[in-house]
Amino acid sequence: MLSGIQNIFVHIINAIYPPRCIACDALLADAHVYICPDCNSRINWLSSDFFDADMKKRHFDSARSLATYEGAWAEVVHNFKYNNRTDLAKPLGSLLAKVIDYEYDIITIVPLHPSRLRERGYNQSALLAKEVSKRSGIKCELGMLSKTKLTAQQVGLSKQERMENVKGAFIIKPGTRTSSEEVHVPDILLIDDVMTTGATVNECAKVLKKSGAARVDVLTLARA
Amino acid sequence: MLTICLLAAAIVIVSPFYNNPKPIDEILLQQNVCEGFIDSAPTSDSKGIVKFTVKLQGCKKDDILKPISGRAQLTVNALQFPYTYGDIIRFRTHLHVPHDFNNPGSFKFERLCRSRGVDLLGYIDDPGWITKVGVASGHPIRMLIEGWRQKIAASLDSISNEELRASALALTIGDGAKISEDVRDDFRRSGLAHILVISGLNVAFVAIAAFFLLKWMMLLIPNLALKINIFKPAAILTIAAVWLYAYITGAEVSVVRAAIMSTVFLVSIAIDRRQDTFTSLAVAALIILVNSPLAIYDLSFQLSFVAVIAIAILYPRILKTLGTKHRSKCWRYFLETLAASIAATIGVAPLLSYYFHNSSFVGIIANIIAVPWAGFILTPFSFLVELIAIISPALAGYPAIAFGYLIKPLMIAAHLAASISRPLTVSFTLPLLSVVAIYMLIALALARKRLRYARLAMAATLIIFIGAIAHQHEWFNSRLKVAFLDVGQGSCAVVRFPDGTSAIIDGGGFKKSDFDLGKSVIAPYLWYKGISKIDYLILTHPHPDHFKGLGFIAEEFGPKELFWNGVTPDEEDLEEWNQFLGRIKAASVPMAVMKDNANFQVLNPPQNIPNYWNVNSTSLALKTSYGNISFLFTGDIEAPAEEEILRTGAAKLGATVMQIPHHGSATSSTAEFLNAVRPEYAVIQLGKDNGYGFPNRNVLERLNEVRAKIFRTDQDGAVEFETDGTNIFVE
Repeated sequence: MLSGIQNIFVHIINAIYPPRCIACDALLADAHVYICPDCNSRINWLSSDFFDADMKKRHFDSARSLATYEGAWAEVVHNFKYNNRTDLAKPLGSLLAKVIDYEYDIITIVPLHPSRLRERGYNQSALLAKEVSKRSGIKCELGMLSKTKLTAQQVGLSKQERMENVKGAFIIKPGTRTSSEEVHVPDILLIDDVMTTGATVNECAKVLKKSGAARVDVLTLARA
Repeated sequence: MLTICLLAAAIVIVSPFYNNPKPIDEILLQQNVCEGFIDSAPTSDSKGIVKFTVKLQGCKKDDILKPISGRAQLTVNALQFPYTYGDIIRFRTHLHVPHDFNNPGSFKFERLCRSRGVDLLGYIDDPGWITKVGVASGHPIRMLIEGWRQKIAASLDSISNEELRASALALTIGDGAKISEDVRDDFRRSGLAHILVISGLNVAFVAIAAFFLLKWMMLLIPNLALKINIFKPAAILTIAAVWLYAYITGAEVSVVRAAIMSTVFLVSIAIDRRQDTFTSLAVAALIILVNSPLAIYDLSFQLSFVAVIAIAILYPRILKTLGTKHRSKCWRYFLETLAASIAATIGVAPLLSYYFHNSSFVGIIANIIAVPWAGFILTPFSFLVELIAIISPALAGYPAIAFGYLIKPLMIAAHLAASISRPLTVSFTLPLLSVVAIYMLIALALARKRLRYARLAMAATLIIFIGAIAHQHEWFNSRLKVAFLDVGQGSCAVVRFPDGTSAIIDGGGFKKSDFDLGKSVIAPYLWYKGISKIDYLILTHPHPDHFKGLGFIAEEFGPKELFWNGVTPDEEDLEEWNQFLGRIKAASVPMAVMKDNANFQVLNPPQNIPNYWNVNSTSLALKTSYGNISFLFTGDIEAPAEEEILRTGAAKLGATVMQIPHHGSATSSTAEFLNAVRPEYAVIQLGKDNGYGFPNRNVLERLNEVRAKIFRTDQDGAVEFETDGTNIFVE
């Protein structure tokens, strides 16, 4: 009985809000995929680890991104980041959760400066991390890192400038429990939306490692 | 489980404002005492005319209250009206069923009443005929809201300027009854009339303002935005704000439409789904129509839905055409408003032309300035005043005064726009078929790339569009046309001659009533027929049921002259006559005593009329002929006048169509007179249940004796004749 009613409810909701492609809003025939075949063919999915020979000192252990920041995927990520499309957290989080193949102790995010949070009203990485945490069962600690200075947007900066820009921008929040108080040395998954040169995540990984993390892996939606 | 809860919630939310029309089984339609409870907040206009609806419970029959059902709209002439929503009152009135003036192109008043759940109408001249006998329990939510509405209205009393207060009432609780006709005309002429009515647009602005305010407030709580997605609670609270606003403003159809659509959109944020305009529009239509199927005839429903559809389809295309890339933020905002305004205007223009007959190009520009002001400034501010007033009416006094000042620029803008609107206004009434055709045409044009025979279909639709106009406006028709209109109790005939000259003989009108028959009945007929100019007016005699309606025609249809019989009106009609003369003078239409002209023969030249006759008998008797066919117009002449005409001009009397004198009164239409005229067709112009017993039974018998075919405007509606000089056609 109850499941029957629930079924009706789902049908009504689906009638009013039919599942749509996250990239182009086209109606989806199959509710279990998020992207229509058309858009899917325009997305360059990645499975390889990030590697940059120019990066002098790599602090994170690995960095994965779902797809390259171009075509339909660029639109999705841009909408999620800038156009208030918080509804995208669910499908994107679920896509991220699918590629996790290691039991991390903690999920955390690259922080957003409070003023930028006020401007946007949401932190897209936090929404993602919570979704991933819900689906993977890994504990999520969003406030682990915090941003101490308002850096310029990384967009439009050169590799060198990006590194300079974020240098010393992050600290571990005082009172955050990491290895120092726990016997176990934690493995951390660092989630972010887009990585380009890896300067930001590297800076974050450096701080995390410094305060005792054993392993820091990076997972982002897109690689530019 | 959740479904049922939601459905129930939906029904509860919407139920207090709709009731389903029920057939009136048996109603005691004479002067009677009835009882019922007031189920709409009484509104009163600047002249002290109060209107409200009553859910009837019983009417007196043989000294007992017989239970009846139905809903009546009562109009009371009362400067002070102490009763409110929920009061059970006993009142004495003459209830009657609403009925239309049955002319082509006339406003469907009957259907409007039905769609608003009104079965009966009643007028009470003296509020002494009303007594309160109790208080109905009423719908608890509705009672609460009515209480709030009263508080808001009370807080607006602090606005000292009457015009501003009236507009403020309209913009806060949706009660525009007090707005004066002048202000109304300003807004109508400038294409801003919709701003004085709370519509879907206001709901959208309230939703936007509430959402951003809530978001901003939640961002002030440290770390909240990091812990949860604050869009979700903000969206849910906004839903509450939207419905609160919808109810406070009186829940008009377009407001409910927008509230439902906003809810669908806000829920999509809360449950991480995507919404699209058309689905939410469908949901809104479904819910509204399930509640009140007749709402589909409601102008407010039609305009609201057409405007949204037009904006949804046309806005992105127009914006693309205008090109918004690489423009400054300010410039882009301007273009967006422009695009939305153009899209909505294109969408509603055919309907407006069909219903209101006039289209003003000033509207597009006026809206670009006025809509953002009304939307971003006035609407959120009005909601703020409302919220403060609910908490404390005394506290809302100063915000209310500020609100009044904010309305002022709008009134000035409307006045300015109206003053330059004349040359930019076209009086053009589209036939219904053309309205359908133009929407088809727009749809085809938009989908032309996906359709095979798009060009062919568009050409066909265009032909239908033009053909329907040509037919209704009678472009290729040069015959003599005479239409006797249904003006209730009164006379009015529109005559168009083969040479293109047009004249109106008498204009109907109701004694001691503010109802402008010329504006509401005669003009719509003329516009419907594509007539925007009348060459001259004829007034057979100065009685209110013949002259009052001509005032508006003189103002709007540019007649060159008004011919009349030159007789001094009765003492009791002098006040209304002088008002009428004022309007004629202001419209600068010269008056002259009627003489024979190219079109009409005067059978009883006024200079020969003895001065001891009553005004009726002094009516002009006019004849016009085309080939073998002729028409006789008789005004209200009575037996002595008929005798005089028989004596002096019996030879000229014969006519194919005769207007029966004095609405079928027993004092006219003598057997001798009818025998001399020998009409094939007799037209009696009179009102339903006219209270004079017109038409007289003996007159009908005499007409049967001369074998005239009788048409009555009270039963047949407008009677239209058309002749080519040998044949005559009746419609």
